This record gives sequence, structure tokens and C-alpha cells, in this order.
Amino acid sequence: MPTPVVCIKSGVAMSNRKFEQFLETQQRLLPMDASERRTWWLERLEEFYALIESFLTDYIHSQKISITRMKLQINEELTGPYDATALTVHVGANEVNLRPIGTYLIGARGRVDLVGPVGKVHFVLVEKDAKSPTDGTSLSWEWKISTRPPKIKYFDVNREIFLDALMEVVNGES
Amino acid sequence: MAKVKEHIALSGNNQDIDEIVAHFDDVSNSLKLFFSPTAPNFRERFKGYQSPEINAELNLRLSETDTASGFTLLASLEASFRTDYYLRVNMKRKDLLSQAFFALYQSKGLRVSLEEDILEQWKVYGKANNQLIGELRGAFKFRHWLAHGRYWIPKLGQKYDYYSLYVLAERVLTTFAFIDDKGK
Repeated sequence: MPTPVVCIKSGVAMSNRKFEQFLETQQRLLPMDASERRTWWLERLEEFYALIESFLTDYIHSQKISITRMKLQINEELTGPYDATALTVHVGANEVNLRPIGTYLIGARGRVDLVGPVGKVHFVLVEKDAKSPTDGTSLSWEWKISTRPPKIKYFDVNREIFLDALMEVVNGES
Repeated sequence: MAKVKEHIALSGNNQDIDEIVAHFDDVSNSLKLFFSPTAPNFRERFKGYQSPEINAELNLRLSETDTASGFTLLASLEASFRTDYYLRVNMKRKDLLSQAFFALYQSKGLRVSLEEDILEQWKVYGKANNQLIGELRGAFKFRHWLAHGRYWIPKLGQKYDYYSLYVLAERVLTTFAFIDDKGK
């Protein structure tokens, strides 16, 4: 049986589970090296695309929308150049691009811009509990849609919000 | 006690970030209108163009507007830091940051470097987040590159654009306790 850990301050025994959680948190706080960070970001990017494709499945099956993939080179100083996937969503005569920006960014661990003929919408990989660029303390990261300046707000990405964003960048209205 | 010998007349012309955002939005929307068939001189201006060429030219103009507005955001941040430095020195406040600025002023006057002097004092005495200071230093490298004509390939570490610089500006203005000319 493992020996219980005792809190020095209070003298009260702390559960081993609590200490293990503390160690896990400390491990997660260790900075990733550039190669790990690039791999991590590209995995999150694929998760984001899977989410977007799930929102569009019905329209893809009914051939009202199609999606093509292409490679885009991103060059960040810490990682050097690397290939990332960009998506093009074909909607009627319009093309809308989901363009990955990178992982070393101010206030975010990743960004994808949805770029259409008349607009651009930003999706950012930020702390799960972040509601704006000035808060968020979670150690886990989640894709959010960002409002435009001023006073940026983040919202969870769901099907309705994504379809609104798609209309906005094509028509200028949602 | 040493006195403040140099004075600058604060112009009050420095833009706040809301003004920069409003300008960016208006210019971007105007460009989109100018490049659309509803513009009054569209047929004359784009005679002989194909649709993709019009879009490509529009995207170039929008991209330049994006860059120029990012530059203005950084200039506005620099104005906030330098105004704060000047006011703290003049008001001779007792907080540690103001005292450090006054000591800096005695050796360098108003010719202080934002990155090496002002930000360094904020880091030590202003309890500013080190990561945010690092992000600011990186962004000012981008500003330096723009201000000097972009003729070399910069080593910037990350992508800077209007959106990311706005995020930086919002975080800085929320985090740093700048004082204004009313001493607040």
C-alpha cells in the first residue's frame, strides 16, 4: 500500500490521487519543444477539420457542397517550414478557404482563418474556459470562434455557428 | 532631488485602439464596395479584368490595409508606454515602477528604448507577465521591419497581422496599469 503524502503546511494527509493530479499538471506545464508543438498543432488541426466536415456531411452527401484538401507551407521561426493541410469548401460558384495560420501566436496555440470572397472569420485554439483574449486558465485547449475587434469574444464552435460564419464570408451576412 | 529638465508637449493625437478598429473596418468595407459591381465607376476601373483578377487585386489591398492597421496598433501601444513613462517621471509617484523610471530618466532622459528600458522596468517593477513582455518585444520587431521598408526577410518567430496585434493590444491595455494625464 502506498505511503500517504502529508501536506507540510497543514500536517493533514493528502490523497495520493491528489498528488498524482498535481504531478500531471506539472508535466503538462512543461514547455513542448518545437517538434512536439508542431505535431500537437497538426493533430489539433485535423480534429478541427473533422469537426467542420461533420457539420457539412449532409450537404456533401447531397452534393451541394464539396471539400478539397491541399498542402500549404507554414514557416514559423521555431519550427522551420512545414506542410499543413488547408481545406477549400466549394459552395456554388464560390470557394471558401480554411487556411491554417500557425501555432506560435499571440494569445492562442493555433489559428485557422475562414476566408471567403467578402470576409474572413477567425477560429482560434485557446484555453477551454477562455471567453476573451484576456482570460482563460485551463490547461486544456479547445477550438473557438472569435468575434472581430473591438472587444473580441470567443464562442464554442457548433454547427449553427459555423454555417453562419460560412454565409458571412460568402454573402457578407449571416 | 533631481528635477525633470526635459518636457514634451503631449499632443493628444495618439489614437486609441477603438479608433484604429473603426478606421480598419471602414477602409476594408470601402474597398470591398469599390471592387464590387455596385461601385459607381466599377466598369471603367476594371475594364478588361477577369473576375479572379479583381479578387486578387482586392485581396492585395485588404492585405495592405491589414498590415498598415497592425502597424498603427503597435504605434498606439508605444505611445501608451511612452506617455506613461513621461507622466510617471513628471508626477514623481512613490510606487516602485515610477521610482525606477525616474532613475532611468536621470541617466537617459526621454531618449529611452521601449524594448530595452521601459519594458525591462515593467518586467521588474510592474509585475507584468513575462510572456506578455516577450510577445510585445516580438511584435515590435515586426513593427521595426515594417517601419524600415520590409526589404529583408525578418526572423519574427510567428505570424503577425491586424487580428493578432489587436489581441496583443487588448491584453496589454487590460494588463498594464498605465496612468493618464490625470494621474489615474
